[in-house]
Amino acid sequence: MEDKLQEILFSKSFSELTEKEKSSFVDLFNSEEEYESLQSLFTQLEEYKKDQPFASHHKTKVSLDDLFVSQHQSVGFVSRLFPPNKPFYLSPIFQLAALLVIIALLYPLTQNDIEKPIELAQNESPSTKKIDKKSSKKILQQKTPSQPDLTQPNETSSASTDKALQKSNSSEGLAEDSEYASFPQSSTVADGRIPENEIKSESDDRFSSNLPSKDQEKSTPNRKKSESESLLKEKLILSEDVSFATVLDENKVFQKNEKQKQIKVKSLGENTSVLAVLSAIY
Amino acid sequence: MQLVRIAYKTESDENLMRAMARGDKRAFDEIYTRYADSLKRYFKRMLWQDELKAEDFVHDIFAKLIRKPDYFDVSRSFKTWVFSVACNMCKNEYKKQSIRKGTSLDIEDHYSLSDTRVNVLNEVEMNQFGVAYEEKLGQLKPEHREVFTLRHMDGLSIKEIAEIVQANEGTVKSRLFYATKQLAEKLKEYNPVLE
Repeated sequence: MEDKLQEILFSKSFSELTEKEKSSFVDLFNSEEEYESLQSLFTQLEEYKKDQPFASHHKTKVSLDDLFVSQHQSVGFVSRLFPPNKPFYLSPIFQLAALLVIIALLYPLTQNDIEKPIELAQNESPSTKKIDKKSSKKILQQKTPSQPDLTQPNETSSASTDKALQKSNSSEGLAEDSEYASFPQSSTVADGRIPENEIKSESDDRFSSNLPSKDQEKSTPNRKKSESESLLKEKLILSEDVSFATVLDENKVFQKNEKQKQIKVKSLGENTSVLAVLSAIY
Repeated sequence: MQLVRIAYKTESDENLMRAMARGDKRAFDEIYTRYADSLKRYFKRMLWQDELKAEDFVHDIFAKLIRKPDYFDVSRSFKTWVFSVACNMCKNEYKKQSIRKGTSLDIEDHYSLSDTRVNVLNEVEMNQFGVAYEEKLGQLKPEHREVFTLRHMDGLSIKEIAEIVQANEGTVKSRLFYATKQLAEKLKEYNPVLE
């Protein structure tokens, strides 16, 4: 409305005004005289604004410039770090310290642990294998060299059986070697046991040479009994020894087997008669 | 850090204030150039045509800007903000004067006393419109004078004036109407057509 009034005042005389314009500004002017006084006021006011003589005092500007320079250039390094007008948490030194603390706390998290070798549990560790080997060796050392130990449970039986055993071993020339070496490796089954028919045949072969002749047999019935007992015992021992034989080196076993076979061939030729007697007993 | 060079002549007042707060001297110079004269005129009219007082007030208001640039709310228009600060300074001055002279807050009485100096000094130039205008303007009520000055001398809009004087736009229009009518009546003798 103010802008419209000025526009009318600067462009129109009172006679040129429409009724609508007159009615809209009826509060400001009712007559031509009032309208003209308003016209003169705004016209001269515009001229007065253009002819404003004074400008701001030069001293004021110089004083303000000095104040501005002192306000902004007096800030040194220390006062920048510790600004006096700011609270401590807004000071740059505090913010810097906080940043360093955050970095120090976050640094360990940024280290990649994946690159390090992972120690996982192994299914087959060499240590367990060693233990198995050691334990098996121990068992073998305990059992194999001293044959009498294996027969300990049967010690209560007669001493004649032991003597017969020793005799049979010495007759075959296997005193220095263990008896289980005479069994071939191939004859063992998965659980380390040898079928009974094999054991039987082997034992027959081995002990056929130790059996007495027919006339000796008739004369000594007690001896036969003791021999049969010793054979039974040896069977048991052999069946136990099979489990140990599987653990031993195959080459060694094979060599022993070869040796045994040669000996057997010799002994078989000599003691065919003894074999017949034994078979009759069994 | 400033990445783009400021075009000081065309930059907005608000951006110049931000630059000034960072210590940009040229931004301060530009703000001063834009507002020093209009503020001085405003103060002179509002403070009984006392030019020295007006100069002091101009200094004070720019000193406040330099010392506490954070006081300026960047969401507001700088023009309305600085004139509202000037308006409050004038009101404080009225209170001081009323206390000193033991008079009431009726500023019109105060003006009649203080303006005698101006009238005496410029008696010869009474026929000049400018002097008469300033005199008659000083005789108006402060709220009417303030509104008229801001509207016709400083070129502010009704909305801006309403923000500065903290009144609604209807009140500002009403005050402006009365000020215009009174001045037109009082200054009709200076109508060149009638002369």
